[in-house]
Amino acid sequence: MQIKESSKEYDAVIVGSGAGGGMTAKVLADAGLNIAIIEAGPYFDPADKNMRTQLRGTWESPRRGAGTLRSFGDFHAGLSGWQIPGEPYDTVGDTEFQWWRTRMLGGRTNHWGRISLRFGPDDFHRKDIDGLGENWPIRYEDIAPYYDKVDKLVGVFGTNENLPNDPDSFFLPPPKPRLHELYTTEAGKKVGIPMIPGRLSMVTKKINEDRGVCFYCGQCSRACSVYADFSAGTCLIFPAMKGKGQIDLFTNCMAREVITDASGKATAISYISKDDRREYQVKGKVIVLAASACETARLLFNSKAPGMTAGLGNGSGTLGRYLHDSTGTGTSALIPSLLDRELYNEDGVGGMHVYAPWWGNNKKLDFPRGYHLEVWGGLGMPSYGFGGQLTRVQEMLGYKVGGYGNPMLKEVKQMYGAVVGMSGRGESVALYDNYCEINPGKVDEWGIPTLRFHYKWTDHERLQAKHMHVSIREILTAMGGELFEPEIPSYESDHGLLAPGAIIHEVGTARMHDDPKQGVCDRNSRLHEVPNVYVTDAASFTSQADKNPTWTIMALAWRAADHILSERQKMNI
Amino acid sequence: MDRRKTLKTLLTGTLGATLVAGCDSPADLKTADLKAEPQGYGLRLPHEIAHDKRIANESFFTEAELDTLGILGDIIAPGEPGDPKATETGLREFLEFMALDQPDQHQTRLRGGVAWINSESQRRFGKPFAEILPAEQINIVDDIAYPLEAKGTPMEFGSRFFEHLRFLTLTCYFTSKAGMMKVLGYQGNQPNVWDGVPQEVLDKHGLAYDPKYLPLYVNQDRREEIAAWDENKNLLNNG
Ligand SMILES: Cc1cc2nc3c(=O)[nH]c(=O)nc-3n(C[C@H](O)[C@H](O)[C@H](O)COP(=O)(O)OP(=O)(O)OC[C@H]3O[C@@H](n4cnc5c(N)ncnc54)[C@H](O)[C@@H]3O)c2cc1C
Ligand code: SF4
Repeated sequence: MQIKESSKEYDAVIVGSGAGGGMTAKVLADAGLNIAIIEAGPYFDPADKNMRTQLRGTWESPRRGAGTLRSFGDFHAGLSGWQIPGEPYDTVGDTEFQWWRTRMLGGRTNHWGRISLRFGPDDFHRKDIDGLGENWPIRYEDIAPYYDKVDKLVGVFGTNENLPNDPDSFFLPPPKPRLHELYTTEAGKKVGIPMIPGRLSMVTKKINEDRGVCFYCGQCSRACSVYADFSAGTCLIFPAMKGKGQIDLFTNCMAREVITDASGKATAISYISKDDRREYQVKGKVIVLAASACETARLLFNSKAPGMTAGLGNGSGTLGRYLHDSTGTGTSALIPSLLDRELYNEDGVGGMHVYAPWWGNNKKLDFPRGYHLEVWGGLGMPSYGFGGQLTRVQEMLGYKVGGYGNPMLKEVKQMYGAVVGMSGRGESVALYDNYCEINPGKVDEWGIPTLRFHYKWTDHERLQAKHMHVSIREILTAMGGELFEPEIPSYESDHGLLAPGAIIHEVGTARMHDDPKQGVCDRNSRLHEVPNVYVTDAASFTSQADKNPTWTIMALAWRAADHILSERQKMNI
Repeated sequence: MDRRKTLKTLLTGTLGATLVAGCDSPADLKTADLKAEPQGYGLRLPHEIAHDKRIANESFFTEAELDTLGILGDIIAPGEPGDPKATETGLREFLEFMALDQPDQHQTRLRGGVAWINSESQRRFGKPFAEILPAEQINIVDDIAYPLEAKGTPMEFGSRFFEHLRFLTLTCYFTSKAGMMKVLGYQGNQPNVWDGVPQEVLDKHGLAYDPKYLPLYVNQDRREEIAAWDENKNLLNNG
């Protein structure tokens, strides 16, 4: 049910309906609880014909897919993006941060890349290994049963490889690699970088009655109308609404702060309805924050309780601190043996069918943390910018550069599907000095104080990026590739590292720590200082890994929900 | 395996089971088919709707400018006999739209380029570009179509413009339905079953699927069976 105002007290009020909020809602509702979900964006269902962009040809977009309004293309399912009109954010001094916000039911999971990686045993105690950062208060064994549950509920394809730090899982069967992915795999073998089947959450084999099976349109970033790719709305919240509990959706409602009583216990969420711009409250016995890592920090900063002037649960002073994103860089090449390809439908799933988990040994390298490699290329659907590399490719092939008419069109066709690229996604070290905080005096259009960011890369990340470039170039060159960017970007340009935030894996702003002086959350994702407030997005991460974060967000959200249920049983909350 | 049939069960069977209870405006998944509404292109936010509305209510190029851009576009992408030429793939509408959609990127470059080419045409042949003979038009185009040759000469102004117009024309041409599906030969964007690279293509490239992985890839004949595992994480019903 979608509603605007309610006087009832819910068993739990959850802010945000993405990976974290969706999973918490699903587990709590299945246990019979009454839930309110406060979601800043609109209702969204990709099966609704009026909302669907899947299977639309590029010509249906008047801008032919250009990213004028949506950075990742006109049919991209994500509503909002790097900037939201009326909701600014800033950076401190010359530091950089890019903040991607998706505002809609299901959040970013409507269009995420679906790369679904468990963290490995080492990833929970990196400080023991390299002396940097901080260990998690939990270990792989604590979270493994929840990864298992997420695998079975949500579905992820892959293969069990018995790798030490990329754990086996309850995998669905992976799709066969595409042609350029076979090339990449062979090249990887030559240079000692093993590539294995990708691990992504599209349903290649039926997983339950709520979900369709993938029909290989390659358009998961547009959200799947048969619910074959994982989105929190379609795969967690909709099924949960059919279950034992009751979920009320408060869509287009922007949470402002957590309300507490005289004893410091949380009692409600206050929110602004975007429809009438008025403020309301919804009461809950438990409050769950899952508005995405930085937005959750912002909510806590904006909430006050007796004796807590620096933000709710921020006695440690670590709220907003240790913000970290994955590192990322990459490059691409023309593969001459892929010129003039035979054409067939190779859309496949909307993501890579193979990848390279971290293969290196950081003890022998000049940077502390690993990364994985992603592959792209193939005979995708043309969109804005198609053929844009024409003159570069002509140069590489020794053709006359430029031209017009049918001979030139033929050259464009010749190079279709012959460009392959790779990207590295790595772990950065969480630092106290990388943070977000309230920007004094600046509010958004809802009157809510906004954030500013302070984030700088260090040589740990720069040297890692350099290594990414070396590895990627080795693979692309081993497949006969002509690099579009022969020189590795210089140290001064961070070896090509994208700006902090750009990989959209931001985590750590209310980190878990057993010591209440050093972290905001305890090992159960609950605020040390407020017993009935939980954080189930990536704000609670002590550290990122060389993996994408979402599978871990969902496993921890499930674990936190179980903790809420056990605390309820003990009458503690 | 009858692909059509499996796809049908895949689409109706699974959709039928997805009915959402308890929510106000769920799509009627039972009757959902795979065609999106012909109008509009998905859920749009208020600022996006306002942006598109503004474009619909404004215009930028004059008819004469669009004529010139169209002539140049058709020189860039004339198409083989039986194929469309650029203006038949919506080039005029696309350029007009993009000039209003991304004004800073396109307006001055395209308008200025048209004016430049008209001056050049005037200088060489005494008339604007649209009014000279096709062979005369090619005479000018040949001087601006090859950026390395034009570089450092007075033709560089025209060549920069031509490169930009070629970029937009290629986008328009190959993202049109005929340009994409017929001329280029893109075969996707439709429900199908991916079962690997065709054997003859593998052979041609001297590649093969790794026998170690072959039994692990999805068995498309059994994909409708609900996945089951043993406690050691082995998938049981894919073989
Ligand atoms: C293009 C892209 C590709 C990605 N690919 C991958 C990938 O391959 N693998 C991976 O693991 N991760 C990937 N990610 C990251 C992944 O999407 C996120 O890690 C994940 O969605 C985070 O879940 P969340 O619940 O914390 O936040 P979100 O999914 O962002 O959900 C937060 C929700 O809270 C709502 N909200 C925010 N503020 C408020 C407020 N004040 N009041 C009410 N509601 C609010 C938002 O509207 C949103 O719906 C990708 C992200 C992007 C953008
Ligand atoms: S590739 Fe598969 S899962 Fe992704 S949108 Fe298409 S049908 Fe759905």
